[in-house]
Amino acid sequence: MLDLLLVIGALACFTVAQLYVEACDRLKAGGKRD
Amino acid sequence: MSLNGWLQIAVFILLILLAAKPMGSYMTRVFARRHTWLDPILGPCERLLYRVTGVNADAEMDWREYAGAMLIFSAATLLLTYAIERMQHWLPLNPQGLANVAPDLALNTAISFTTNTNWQAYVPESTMSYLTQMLGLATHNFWSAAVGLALAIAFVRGIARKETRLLGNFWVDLTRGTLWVLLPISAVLALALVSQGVVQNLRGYDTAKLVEPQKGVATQTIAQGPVASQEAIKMLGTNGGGFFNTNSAHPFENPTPLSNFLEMLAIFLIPAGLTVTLGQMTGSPRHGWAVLGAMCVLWLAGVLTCYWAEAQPNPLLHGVNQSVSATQSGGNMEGKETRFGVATSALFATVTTDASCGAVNGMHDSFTPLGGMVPMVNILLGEVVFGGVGAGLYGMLIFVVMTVFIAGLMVGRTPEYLGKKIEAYDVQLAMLYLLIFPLMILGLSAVSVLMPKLGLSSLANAGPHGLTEILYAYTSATGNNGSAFAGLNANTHWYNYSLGIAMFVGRFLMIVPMLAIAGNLAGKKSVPASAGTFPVTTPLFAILLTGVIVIVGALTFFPALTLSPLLEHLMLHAGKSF
Repeated sequence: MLDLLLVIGALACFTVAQLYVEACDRLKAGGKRD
Repeated sequence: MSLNGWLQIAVFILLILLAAKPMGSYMTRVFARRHTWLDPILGPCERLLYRVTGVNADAEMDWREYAGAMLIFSAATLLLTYAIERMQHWLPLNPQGLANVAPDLALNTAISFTTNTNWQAYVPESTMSYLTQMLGLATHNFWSAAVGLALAIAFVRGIARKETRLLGNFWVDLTRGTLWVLLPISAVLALALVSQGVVQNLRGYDTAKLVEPQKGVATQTIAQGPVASQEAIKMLGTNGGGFFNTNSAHPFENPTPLSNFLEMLAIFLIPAGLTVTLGQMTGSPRHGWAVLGAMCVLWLAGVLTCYWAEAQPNPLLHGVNQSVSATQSGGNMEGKETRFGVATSALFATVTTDASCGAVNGMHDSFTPLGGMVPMVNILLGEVVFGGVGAGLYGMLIFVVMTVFIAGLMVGRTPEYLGKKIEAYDVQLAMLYLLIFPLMILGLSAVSVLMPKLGLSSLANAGPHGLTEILYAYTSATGNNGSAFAGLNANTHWYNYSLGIAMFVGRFLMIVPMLAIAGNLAGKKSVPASAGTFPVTTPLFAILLTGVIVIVGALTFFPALTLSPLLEHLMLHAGKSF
């Protein structure tokens, strides 16, 4: 059970990193509007 | 301090400077997919790999696709290592019958090796089977270094290319970095280490009878294993995770002064070469040399301080002769190997923390307060003094962006870097990169200190020395260095999880803004240099770059350092130790 939780947690961290990629990309659009 | 010590340090940096150009030129050819003498052997292997995995080697990626591929690869290999650790008892190549690794430790270790940190909260010879060491950990030594190489090359392409969104193909860069750069040099180095006495076998541990039994103990277990093959890439890939608990202080990992010297050369070889690659790929070789010059200045400051501090007599040992002589190394020999002495222990500590390697041949915890501060400061500067394979170069290039930005502010012009205008978006991302680092180190250290049951219960020393141990642990994890100051048992739930998060954030959440800058730079037009352009090829640029790195590091971490090693140094001279 703990194994499953930790694997899900690790994958969630990588998902956050992928969302962070999108956020950095959107920051550029914001920067241009300024 | 001795002439012998100075000579070894001088010969070391001379050899690195001599090796930088051939190594850098070779890597330029490898990543530009130009012909090399290894093509007849490795070319078919590369093509076979692409055919099996379905990779289109000619399809390039933008920065988001590049980052996505890197994240997918890292996630998959992290889970593979976790699974191997958790099932090692039922898998082959486990002659000692070692148990499955506990979940929190397995996750910590999987993150550690995926992120090129190689922090080890375990005793390898009594925790990891040969299969785990070879398939779970040594493979990561190659992959994580190759990922760093690929990312650095992608960043350099972003600087060199104009009006494109493409940075290369992650899978191709990963494959070529592994096959053409890491594997051949590792094979040669492993053989050289075997010649010095590093072991390489798969048999069970030996048991030796003690000549003089001690307190009922009559035998000693002598661990064995496939050490040389792991040792070579451990140094070359700036990984640092030892096959044995005492790492490169162990006679089977690092038996002679020559093996010690080769291991140190291996740590700096690729990071030094990458500065030449930077110069060649951007069409400005002198820029590469200027970056290398700044690295050398910071390295020299570190090794001089560390060697001087370790060569000083311990002020608490009154009436003891601690001077250099034909029969003793002099200075502080606690925690150091007699076969290495003070000079090369100080040099090793400086090199391994400059370069995000993390291997140790002496115990940093036993260094003098100022001597032990040097490894920590090296990491706190952002692991950019040569730095990890690839990670050092892209970290340094973030500082370059900041340097040209500050220089631009000084003269009131839009900053330019090799023909690319540095604009708000680039600086925002560079600041994001620079702020994540202290946020993790200082934030998690503060939480550990403020929550005694979590952070202080496994600490061996009190006072400023204890704070150094905690601060060093989070510095090492976030900086993806992996060396331990020791004195702190990090194999607890709190440290396994919190250091795991620090390693993850210190790697991936810093890579993303770096790649975003690379993608943004690649899309820009190139502006011809004018009389007002700040040149990035001069000694003045190298001095300014060095100043920016030191000032950012000092402003961020000086308060914490005054409460740990600096305070300990003053108290030691007042007669109090911890």
